[in-house]
Amino acid sequence: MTRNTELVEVCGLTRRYGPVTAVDGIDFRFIGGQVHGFVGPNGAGKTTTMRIVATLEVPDAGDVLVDGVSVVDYPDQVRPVLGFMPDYLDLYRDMTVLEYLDFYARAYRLSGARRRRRLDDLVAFTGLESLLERPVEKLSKGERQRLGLGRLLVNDPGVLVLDEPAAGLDPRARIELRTLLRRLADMGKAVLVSSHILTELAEICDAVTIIDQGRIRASDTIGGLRGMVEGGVRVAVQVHDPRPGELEHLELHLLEQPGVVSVAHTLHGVEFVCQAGPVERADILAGLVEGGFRVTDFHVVQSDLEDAFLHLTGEGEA
Amino acid sequence: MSQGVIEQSGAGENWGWVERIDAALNPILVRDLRVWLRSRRFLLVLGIAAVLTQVVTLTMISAAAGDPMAGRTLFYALVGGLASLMTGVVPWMMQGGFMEELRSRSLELVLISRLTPGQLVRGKVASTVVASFLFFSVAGPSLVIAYMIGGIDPVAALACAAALIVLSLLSAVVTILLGAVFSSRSSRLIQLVPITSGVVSTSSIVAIADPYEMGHVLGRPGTVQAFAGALGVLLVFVFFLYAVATARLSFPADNRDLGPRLTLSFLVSALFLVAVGVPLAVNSRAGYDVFPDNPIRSAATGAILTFTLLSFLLMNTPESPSTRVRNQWPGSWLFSLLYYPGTGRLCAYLASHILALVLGSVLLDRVFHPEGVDPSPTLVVAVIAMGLWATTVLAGAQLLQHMLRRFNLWRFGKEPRPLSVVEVALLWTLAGLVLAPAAAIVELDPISLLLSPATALLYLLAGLNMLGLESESADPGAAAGVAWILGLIAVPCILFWVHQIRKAAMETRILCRDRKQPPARPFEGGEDGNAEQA
Repeated sequence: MTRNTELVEVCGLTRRYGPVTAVDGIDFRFIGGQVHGFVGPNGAGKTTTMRIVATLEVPDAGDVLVDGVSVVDYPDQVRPVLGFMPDYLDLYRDMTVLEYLDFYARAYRLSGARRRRRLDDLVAFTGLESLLERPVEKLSKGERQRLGLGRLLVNDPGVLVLDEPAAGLDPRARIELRTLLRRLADMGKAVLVSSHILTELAEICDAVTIIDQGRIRASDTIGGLRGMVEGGVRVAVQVHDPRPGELEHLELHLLEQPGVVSVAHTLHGVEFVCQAGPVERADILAGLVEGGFRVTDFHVVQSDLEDAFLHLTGEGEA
Repeated sequence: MSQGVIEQSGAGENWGWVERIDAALNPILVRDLRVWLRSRRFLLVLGIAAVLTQVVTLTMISAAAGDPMAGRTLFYALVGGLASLMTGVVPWMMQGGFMEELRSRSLELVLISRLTPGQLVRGKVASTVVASFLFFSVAGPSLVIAYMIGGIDPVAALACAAALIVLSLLSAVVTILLGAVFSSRSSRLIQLVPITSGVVSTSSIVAIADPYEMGHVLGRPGTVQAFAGALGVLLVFVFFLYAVATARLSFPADNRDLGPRLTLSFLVSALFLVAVGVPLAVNSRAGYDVFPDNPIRSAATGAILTFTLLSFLLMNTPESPSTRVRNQWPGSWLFSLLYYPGTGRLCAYLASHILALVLGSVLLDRVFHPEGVDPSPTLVVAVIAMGLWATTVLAGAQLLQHMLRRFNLWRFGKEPRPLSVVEVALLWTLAGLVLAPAAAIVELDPISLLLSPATALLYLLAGLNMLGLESESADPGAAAGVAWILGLIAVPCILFWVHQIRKAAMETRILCRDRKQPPARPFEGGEDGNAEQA
């Protein structure tokens, strides 16, 4: 497959349905070689945005530029480099896997030996070799998703837009899909993927955009979003068989240390948020030991994307 | 912009003729034929058709032994059966798949490939026609036997073949248009619509060609022209429906060429008028008047025709264009009236129809009666008649819905919904039944009234002699045939028109006070998207 380096810029995108503003002036960008997550609660405007990117809808204002080419003004020029996988199954149940892929290859005007080579490549990439003569209606959900991915890649697009591709998949199929998406990004394709399974996105995405009520709440790398949530590093401390009043004493001790922002109780210890670096954290640990606290565990808690999502969409506060 | 698939078909390859043909085939045609030939339902219907054909052939031959006209009787019986299959059953089977594609929105993914809406429609039509000819081939041996028995006029046989081809095309394109236009939830019931169209179109040809008396009819002056004209009209109509279906299947992003498309529609409308007018004028000169010397009837017919065309023209607009797209076409201010929900759109529709009536009446009145009959009363009558007609339909729809809701029969699902096509068709049938007694008064064929309420209204006015009209025509059979064609043209557009009015009324909450979500539209939002819109 070719190596693509498309840059996709979403600029001031607005789409209204009567009185409802589904997407309200959003801006973000994603580039080739990157898996970009698109996260938001139901009704946030994800599907609308993705459909506009895929030229299926027209915005009321704003635009999406694929390598500088407007999807609104020149949809015909953009479509050949776009691949869109919707959140519904488009599959024709009466066809076999090979006929299905062949149909879309014909629709993209691939003919003769080129079409056959392309289908061979796709079948090998998606691992559908043993299913070629199987009717689509008899495929499992994971197999159908792989077939959908094969369909998506028929024209070898540089920009892939996948709406909830992991929904309803079992863990094994999810891992397969994740691997395939990562491989596609490694080929240089720009991958925009929406999902409610935020931990999945954290594992495969290079960057994430969080949308809520039609507006962008954050758009950054995974690490950047975590930092945005916490304002520092969260550290968990556990002590052995804490005596009465020992945890309160520990809390006071930590609050006196430089860089510690806040402290909260847990079952066998406390968690504190620290804006200091690793050296300072080592000093804090040494101080705890010297202070007579019987520390059994001291580690940095990795907050996940879910925290960022809840924090930025305000759901965590409720 | 870098592009994945740069490899274009055929570049730098030495293709054999098989690959060349393969590359030229429409992908939709290939896919549909593959699926159809695997479909048990299709093979079952094909098998039943084959068995029935053989049974009919053997029965008729044995029953008419020694009859020199047995071949002709068998031939026309087979052609009649094939016409029913090709215009009714095959499109019905095709529409099931097409509706499923629309409902599942699979077509979205097809249309963002390099396949254009035009190719999609052409592929669908081609696959339907090919499937129709599979049925034709089933009857091939029997047709040969009939020809060998004798009594068949070659001209009549050719005319029948031409009619079958045109009817097959027409049924296919009507089916696609209906599938593209309507988003009824009662998809199973909507499949009855193409059958109705098939029956109507077959009836039209039968009425005009009168195959059992083909030789006699062909000897009349002007009949050949009328037949050719009718086929021409049907062909132009096929093209027009094709254009409309293509437009309806386009995405909002592709609707920026609204101006050129409307221009094209106007041109097609003009062609349509010429195609109708020329054969009729020829007939008139040849002394075989399809319409008697009756200005009001001519004018009203023209009005109906023009109304039909303008209705399709108005339908040939994007489903849900954004303000941005609307503003890109300079003349869109006029047509943007149609996009505003509620009363504005309703008024725009009605006003445009009245305008169409006036223009159509003047045009055809002048064409048929250049000596100068005062068109004023004609116009008034036509406008009033059409106004009454539209109002009756709307009021009927409201009344029916009110009754259904009153007796708790309305909520077929959880949500209130617009009238389905079948329900509107039912209304039209009821309207025809009301008009049927009038047919008895003037001794007209009640079936034609049921099929074409508009024509029925025309005949009603004539029959009641309210306006000093003549109730006799030069040839009731031919007139009924033309009326049927007009009815065939009018029915789908009327259905859509009523559907649009219904939707507009829904949006203004005239008919549905507790509307919770807008009516579903093709190509708008996924499940998630719908939730977002709601």
